[in-house]
Amino acid sequence: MHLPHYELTIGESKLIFEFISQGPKGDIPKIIVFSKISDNGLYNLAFGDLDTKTGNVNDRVVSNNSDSKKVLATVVQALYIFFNSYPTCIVIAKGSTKSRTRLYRMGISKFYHQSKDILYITGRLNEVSDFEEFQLNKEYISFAVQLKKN
Amino acid sequence: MKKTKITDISMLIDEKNLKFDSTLDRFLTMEIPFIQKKIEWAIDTMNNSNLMEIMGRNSK
Repeated sequence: MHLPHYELTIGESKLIFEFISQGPKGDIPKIIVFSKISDNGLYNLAFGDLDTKTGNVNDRVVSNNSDSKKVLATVVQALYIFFNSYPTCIVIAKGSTKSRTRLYRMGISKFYHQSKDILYITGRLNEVSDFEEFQLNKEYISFAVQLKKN
Repeated sequence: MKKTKITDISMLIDEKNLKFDSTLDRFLTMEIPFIQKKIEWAIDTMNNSNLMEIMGRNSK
């Protein structure tokens, strides 16, 4: 059931996740941060490369470490862990570049069948359109996800 | 391969590949520019879209 993914290191809050991408470009530390947006349970998912020396995070860099599927599976694992701890919350995400948004879209599409019974996923086609229930093969630019309610 | 129906989010978590480090939470209080930008975008999206309305329609 679990697709290959990297080992995740998690902060006590279950809002910060770190892992190491391993590939031809070497070991690249990555960080995933869920930031609280509002008291009604909205969180933003941010994902980028971590400079362990400075503590800076860069979400525009393209690592090209030949492991995008494994990286995606790891981000999705972090999302599952987040929802296990924050079951009523909503997560929204948007890539900082077109290629990163495409990566998110690929990730959601890849895991859609696995998780559609328990996740409610919506997408937005552009910055002024309405969010709609996620459909495969549509080019959404941003996404919102929540555990399905009983 | 037999398909398992997912009924709970915990079924999708690979517990064996997890470890904890409380020092990571320091990032929650750091002002990281790219996260600040995302937060601004998220607030704007929440206030100027049907996001909360459509998420309110969520049901199994």
